Amino acid sequence: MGRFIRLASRFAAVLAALAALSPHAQTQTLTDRLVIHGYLTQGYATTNSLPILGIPNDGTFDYRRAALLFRFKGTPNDAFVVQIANRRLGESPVNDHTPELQLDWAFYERRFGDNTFLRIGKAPIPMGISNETRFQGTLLPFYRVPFGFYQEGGFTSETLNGLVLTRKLNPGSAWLVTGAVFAGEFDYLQAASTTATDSTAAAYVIAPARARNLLGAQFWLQTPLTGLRVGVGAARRIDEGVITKQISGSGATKDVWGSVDGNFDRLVARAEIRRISFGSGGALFRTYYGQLGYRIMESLLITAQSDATDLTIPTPNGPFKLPYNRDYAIGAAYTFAPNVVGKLEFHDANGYEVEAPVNFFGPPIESQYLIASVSVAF
Amino acid sequence: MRTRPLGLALLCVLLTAASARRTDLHIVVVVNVANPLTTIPRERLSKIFLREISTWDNGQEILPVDQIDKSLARVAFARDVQKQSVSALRRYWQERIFSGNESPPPDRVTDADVLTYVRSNPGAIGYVLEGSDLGPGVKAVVVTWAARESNTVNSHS
Repeated sequence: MGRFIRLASRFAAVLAALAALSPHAQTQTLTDRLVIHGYLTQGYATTNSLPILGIPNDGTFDYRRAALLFRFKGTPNDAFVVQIANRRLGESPVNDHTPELQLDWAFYERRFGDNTFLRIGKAPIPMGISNETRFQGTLLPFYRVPFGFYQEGGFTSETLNGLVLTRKLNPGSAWLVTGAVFAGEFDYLQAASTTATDSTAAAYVIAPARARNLLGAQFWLQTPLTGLRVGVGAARRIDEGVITKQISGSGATKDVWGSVDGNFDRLVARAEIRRISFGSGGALFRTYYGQLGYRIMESLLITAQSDATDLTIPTPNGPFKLPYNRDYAIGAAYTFAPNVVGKLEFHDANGYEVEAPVNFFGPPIESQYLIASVSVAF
Repeated sequence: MRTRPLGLALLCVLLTAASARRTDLHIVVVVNVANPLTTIPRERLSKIFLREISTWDNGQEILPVDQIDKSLARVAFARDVQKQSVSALRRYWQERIFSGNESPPPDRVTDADVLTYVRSNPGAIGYVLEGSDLGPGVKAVVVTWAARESNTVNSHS
């Protein structure tokens, strides 16, 4: 208990110092054409179970996401955007495959009138409510976006190498529809448990893979009710280097999702659902979450979240349906200053989403974990 | 996991402060005297400050200039023209910025700073509190409203 009190005291002192020092979130204008923004979320996380999401049993401060974003506006219609990032996922083996500093984004943006935008290069994928801003802590009620839907470390990508075309389809309408189509490819990491043999122990392994021939689209409908929008999207890709080929089979991976995003004066309500079918093997990934937050006062947001993921794995005896992960969370996010947010969250999870060899045919693993974090953006 | 005492302690630390609001303030929208604009619909004005419209009718780049979050003019402009709270707009811009999109307009601390900016940039548009001395090189434009809206922005013409 003393350890937690000391930790909470230090955490509060750091937040107070940041709130006192940080100016309002403002554009840092070096010239009229170049703007620089950045963010940092530093966390402390601990769990009482097997390692999960990079969180070890004895806690870690090596839990961070930070980025510097440069946007150069050549003309009113041309911009070049670069973002560099540092992300640490505690003691996750994913860290061994992730550079300390990485080129996150590098794209050129061309504006055609007021309603059409084209991005070419390494650009964020318009997927769901939060993929494009998934690491920006001051925007999120928890340390991370819902894990089942967005994943982290493995089986996901924030960006693609290719192009993204966005267009407002009926500008001026109270029922505004915005569509985005994207095409390209991306690299990602995959994780799997290997079973023990006579000569080797069971292991949790990470390996790179590549998604090629990616083609997708997403549409958002803005409703006349301010703050409420509804979205749908789909994508198709060919995965290469998949280590679980025996269950995913060959052929395209198909990804479909739907979103409801309500952000009102005091109430925040979000729900998303996603279904991915892997190749011809019959493997299915289904996930959904609901998030309900209430601003008790302007600065304090309390949010509850339920996040579920199910897997269907083909076996010689037919499809094996596995409740892969359940994560129930409650969190408080306090805005100390417009650009400084402190968060405390508790998660109760059970399933197989731990970073250790697991037997899918065995009982689910219970985990509780806690994350305390502070986010700053400028 | 001994999380409850820690959670309660932090919640106690977090429970502070409230914000004050003024609803009796009105603003005047201003442009450079070289700009032929005399009237502007409220919705178009709002879109300009959300960077959804980037050029004037003659193709010149629009240079909106905001006021800092704490300024009374900013609160009134957000409420009456943009129909949102300043904190909601702040969240909007954070989402825009960190998804790689356009940054918000530059902001200035005082009405005088805004007027200086507008005076110096032919494509600029800004707003100041009603009653401010506009001085040379700057003119007010009339904000027009859709029939269903009530006019709470005062304009000098």
